[in-house]
Amino acid sequence: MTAMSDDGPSRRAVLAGAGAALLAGCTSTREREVMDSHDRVDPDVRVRAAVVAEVRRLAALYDATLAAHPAMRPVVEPFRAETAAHLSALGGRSPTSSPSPGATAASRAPVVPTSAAEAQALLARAERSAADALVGQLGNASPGLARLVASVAASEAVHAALLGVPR
Amino acid sequence: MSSAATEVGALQAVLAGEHAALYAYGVVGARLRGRRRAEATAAYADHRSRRDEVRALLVERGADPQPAAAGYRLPAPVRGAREAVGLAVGIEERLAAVWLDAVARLRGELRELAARALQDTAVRAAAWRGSGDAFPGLVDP
Repeated sequence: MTAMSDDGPSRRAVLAGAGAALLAGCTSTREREVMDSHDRVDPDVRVRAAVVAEVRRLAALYDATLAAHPAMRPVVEPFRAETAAHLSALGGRSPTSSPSPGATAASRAPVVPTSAAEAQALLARAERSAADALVGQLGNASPGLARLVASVAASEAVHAALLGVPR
Repeated sequence: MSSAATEVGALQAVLAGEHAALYAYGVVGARLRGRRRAEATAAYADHRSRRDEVRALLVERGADPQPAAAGYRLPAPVRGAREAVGLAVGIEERLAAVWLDAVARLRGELRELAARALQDTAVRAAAWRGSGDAFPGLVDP
């Protein structure tokens, strides 16, 4: 079986990323225009950002779950580790590696059920809904990014299935 | 290649993969008993539905769905349950790569369909294996 697609960030995507950073200081009146030109340059930038946000939410839920239920580690750790691998393949950092102080970050901290069984069920549901959200992002992705995002979504579907089955 | 030709090529590739999976599950099921056998039967039914779905998509596009091969060479002899489970894992993992290629080549609804089929094959591979996979179908993440 031969794969014929360009995985990883293209030169174009890298340049677009640098452009986005340089343009971050633009005034709000120009923001729409900047976003538009952004889309024309490379829609992958937006897709990647949406997917990273989705996977980061999962990573944060795993961290919060392990903090609340340390005894769940043997079951949960392999899935948490794969989620971290997804983030790094997508070019995002894990939430713990980039603490963002402030009320908004605190208010978004996930709430973990007190029962371990319910906490595990919540993880399974979160994985399933992340997999669906990622499929929803595929339409605008280049072939190379679609390949990575679909693979990550499939891994999340596997996590949901394995976490959802009582063991 | 036109996008219609790309579509047909991608669909024929997954059809060939589903034909091979059906053949393999016939062998797998014959070597298993009890719960494992029931799982193989369920997997066979899932692959048959996918095969029929892909065939119908090809016919809708005016293409001639390619038939199954007269025979397939198994990667290793399957004498008992252990080898049967190994074959099931192998066929699902290879099929994941085929569906992931289709994700890259297709657009719109067909791309979504390929992504869902990839999820199904990854979930079955994990069930046979008993463990997850960080990047199903991706040879070199």
